[in-house]
Amino acid sequence: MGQKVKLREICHARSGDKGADINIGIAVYDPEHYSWLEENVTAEVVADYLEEYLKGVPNASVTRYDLPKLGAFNFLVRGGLHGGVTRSLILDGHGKSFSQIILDLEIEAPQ
Amino acid sequence: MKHKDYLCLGAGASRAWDNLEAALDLANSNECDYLIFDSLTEKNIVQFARNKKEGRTAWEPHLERRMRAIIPACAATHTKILTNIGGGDPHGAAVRVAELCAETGASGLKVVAVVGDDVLDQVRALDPEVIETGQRVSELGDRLVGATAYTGAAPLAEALGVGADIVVAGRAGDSPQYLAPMIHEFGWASDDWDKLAKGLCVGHIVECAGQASGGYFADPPYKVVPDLHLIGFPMIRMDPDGDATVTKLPDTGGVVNRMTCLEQLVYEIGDPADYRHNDAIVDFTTTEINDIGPNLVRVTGTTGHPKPPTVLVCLSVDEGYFGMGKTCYGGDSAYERAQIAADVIKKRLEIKGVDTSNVRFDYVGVNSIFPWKGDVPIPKEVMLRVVGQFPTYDEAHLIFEMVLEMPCNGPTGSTWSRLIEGGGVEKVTAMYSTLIPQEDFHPEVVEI
Repeated sequence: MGQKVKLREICHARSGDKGADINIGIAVYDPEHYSWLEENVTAEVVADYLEEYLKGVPNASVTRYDLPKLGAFNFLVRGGLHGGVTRSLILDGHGKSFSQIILDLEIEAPQ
Repeated sequence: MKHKDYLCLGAGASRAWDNLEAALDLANSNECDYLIFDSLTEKNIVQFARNKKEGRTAWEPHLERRMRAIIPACAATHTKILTNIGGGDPHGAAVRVAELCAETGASGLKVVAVVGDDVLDQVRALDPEVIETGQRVSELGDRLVGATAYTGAAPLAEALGVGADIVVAGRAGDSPQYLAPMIHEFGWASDDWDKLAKGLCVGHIVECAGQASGGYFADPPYKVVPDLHLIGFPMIRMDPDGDATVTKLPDTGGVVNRMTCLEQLVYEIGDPADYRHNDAIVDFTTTEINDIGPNLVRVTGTTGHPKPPTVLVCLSVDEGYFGMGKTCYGGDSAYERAQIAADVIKKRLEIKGVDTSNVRFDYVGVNSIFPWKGDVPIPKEVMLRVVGQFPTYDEAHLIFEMVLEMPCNGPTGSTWSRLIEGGGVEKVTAMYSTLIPQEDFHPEVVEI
């Protein structure tokens, strides 16, 4: 195993609501890290990280959209707000904290 | 236009009750041709739909304070205003804005309302599918409180075309309020998809005002923002060909850079290649963002696709009541005592005959927003937050009552909250979505 790094050391992020879904955009500080992120922070990795949080949410899924020209990715966590801001009982009904939750994700450091 | 080479649009607000000083700085600066006050969120729309149905004022009371301050400042600097401050009653709000013009000595200003976004009749007649549930709208029955279509830029530009100094709309989309003056001033064609998309893109970047100029950004040591208390709201310098520069006033706090604009570009967009508006579909995957100087960011390259055949409609739906209660514990065993309280509250609710299967018990400070993995330190203060949703007010109120029993009848050291922090009961008007054909949506321009 190589050295581990938290995403926040090499990325910045912003999140919010898209209906009942959470929208999390993340971007690399250094463009050289983009392809590393592309390989290592897949939709599956994020879905696995959110697995317990999404437990019991019908049809929950994570989709990653790539914006290579901007060095960014947009993750759409379907169903992640348990009904969305007008209906959800959760504390963070807008999903505002999820940028920082995802930046806590620890993965192998880029070379 | 005040500047030879570009149209200047200022972001005056991202919502109701936003920072009025930052908006006044833009109004007084004489830099902006237009100031845009985005004033609505989903929460407002459903509330206003309910207000309208119940015959109450269907716009935010902040209209009074904001417009009373902004109108004379904008009149003095010949700055036009576009806003969706009309909420659920754009005509009524526009009449009040016209009265405020007279009251503040700016009676020469022309106020124009854009109405027609209440599409309840069309939605009932067309009976389209509810996107979130797959049901037909008719299956919502009496629970459907209102249906509000997103207004695009074209009718807002039409309002400018009849000479509006102040355009008051209802649920005008956020970025279309920025696109409208571009269409009006530059004469962009309604099928020039790339230019329309460029305008929507940069409008999207600044539509949350401070979020493009250092708000929602600071995270030292990685991202440091100076003087957030003096934040300067962003301005767009729009070229006639659709390329733009985002900036802010000198001597204001905050920061505009590639990162603030990029974070806002990816904010709440879903599929970046398919960001839909009434006027065009935006493809953000072609956008480029570059720093060209301190607090100067260039946004170029965005492409567009033909407008979609449908308009997005917010459905406001009656869903009973939220009931909430909160109490706090301190000391080494705070979390244990909060858990005892949760157990007591759950059993008390069950004695009262309440189904607790969907009642949430959150431990704020421990794991209320996320089930953290690994060894998470247990804090010395924990707030127990209990919340549930019920068909009746009385059931919802029981949540509040049972939490309120804790200081006297629960584990030791339970705080007794003030009314405003202890919870209570809230009527739930939920938002769902549907689509109707563009040809069934008829926004109208009304001169006040």
